[in-house]
Amino acid sequence: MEGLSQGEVIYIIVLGSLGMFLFIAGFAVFISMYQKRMLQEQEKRRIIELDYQQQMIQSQIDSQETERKRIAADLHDSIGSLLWAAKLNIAYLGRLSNFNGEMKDSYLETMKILDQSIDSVKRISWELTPEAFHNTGLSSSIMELCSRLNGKGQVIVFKEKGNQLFWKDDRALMAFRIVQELLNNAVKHAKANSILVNLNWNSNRLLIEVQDDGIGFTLNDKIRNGVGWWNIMHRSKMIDAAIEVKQNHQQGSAIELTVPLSS
Amino acid sequence: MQFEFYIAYFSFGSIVIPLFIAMLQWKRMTDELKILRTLLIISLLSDLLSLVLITYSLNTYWIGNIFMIAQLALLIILFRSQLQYHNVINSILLTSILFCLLNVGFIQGPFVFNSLSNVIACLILISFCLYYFYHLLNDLPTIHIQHLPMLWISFGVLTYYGGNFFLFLVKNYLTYGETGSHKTMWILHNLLNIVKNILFAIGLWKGYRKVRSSTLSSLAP
Repeated sequence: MEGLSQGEVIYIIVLGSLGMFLFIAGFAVFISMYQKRMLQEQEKRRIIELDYQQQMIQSQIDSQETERKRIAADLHDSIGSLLWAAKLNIAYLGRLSNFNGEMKDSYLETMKILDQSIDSVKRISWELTPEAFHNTGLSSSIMELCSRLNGKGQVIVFKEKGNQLFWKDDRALMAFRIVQELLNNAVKHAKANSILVNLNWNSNRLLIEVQDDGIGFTLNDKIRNGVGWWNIMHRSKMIDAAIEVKQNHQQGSAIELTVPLSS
Repeated sequence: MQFEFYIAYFSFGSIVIPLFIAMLQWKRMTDELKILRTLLIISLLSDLLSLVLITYSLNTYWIGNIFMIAQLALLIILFRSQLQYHNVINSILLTSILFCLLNVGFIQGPFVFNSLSNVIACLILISFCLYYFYHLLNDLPTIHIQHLPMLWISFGVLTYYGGNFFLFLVKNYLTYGETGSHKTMWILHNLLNIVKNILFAIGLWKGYRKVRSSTLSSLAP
């Protein structure tokens, strides 16, 4: 390196190294700042997305509830009233005419069909929207649901422990819908002989257990991808409830729902 | 041959690396890379002309001064293509070019190194680079920022002009006394030019990869 003094070479080396170091450090700092901002932005977007999804589910469930109320009211007020009117008219005809023989049998059969239809309308209407829910609360409604389903191919037992709370708000209705869906699943798919619904009240949470002695189900079962299970999962998410499936294949299943009593 | 000449020739030759990559994607370049390609061609022509003039022992400062004005204009246009506030940028472009032309024509003259224009160009381009980085941090245009050609180009501009500005500030110290001479300044300047060209080459390569991958994906069945 002729022509350059030792001092100049040192200057070049020191300044060159310093420049490279500054460049690499600046580049690294910029990339890490960028990645940090990108992660923050992605997290923000994820939260917004989740929030949006939650709102969509909420509005879906709300509209489901509104629609159920409307159908229940229509069933009760329209078809129910018409059936009552038909029954009254036929009863009036029965009083006016002295039916005998085959005619009387037919008259009695018609009355029986009408009674069954009125009962069905009442049952469906109640299941769609338990009109007394907001008056009777969760415990009584679940008890009523169990007694309605009891004896129709399965024995359904309802048990309750702890200090019962008169719980009747929208969260309680969500919990009721979950129990209703779990019971429907047990009745329709589990081929169970007996079902036990257990409510355990604690100071700050309610433990609901639905047990059956049916065929049980695995985590990959179709039921878990169906609308019913979707409803259960989203409703439990909305009331901050934890759901646990305890399965014992061929020996039934037990589903535990832990609901915090204050949101 | 002396060490400083090796560095000078390597600095002069380093322009070939980004130019070669620019050749690979000649027809399918994005607008900002086309501006950079124009700058590289002008840079090569200016270096070649300087080499010829040096051979005949003629003054080469006027080429450097004119090239610096062209480089400043093209780089401001390059940043304008990436940023908002075009009216403000146009005003900066016109004012700075006008000042540099006045300087080369009437203030410092064409046959000496236009230090005043150089300092102003450094300040303007450093500001543009920093504003562009701020803009990137706000807009977050891509997940993998390291694949963005303009990031490498901006780092090249910042390294070169930031380094030159620093050299200008410490010039008196570097050229002071018996141990110091202008050689040190020029060696460091040439090293900065090599780094700048390598970073431009990386930027162009990133652009080339982007164009090639999008062409391949459009050809896929």
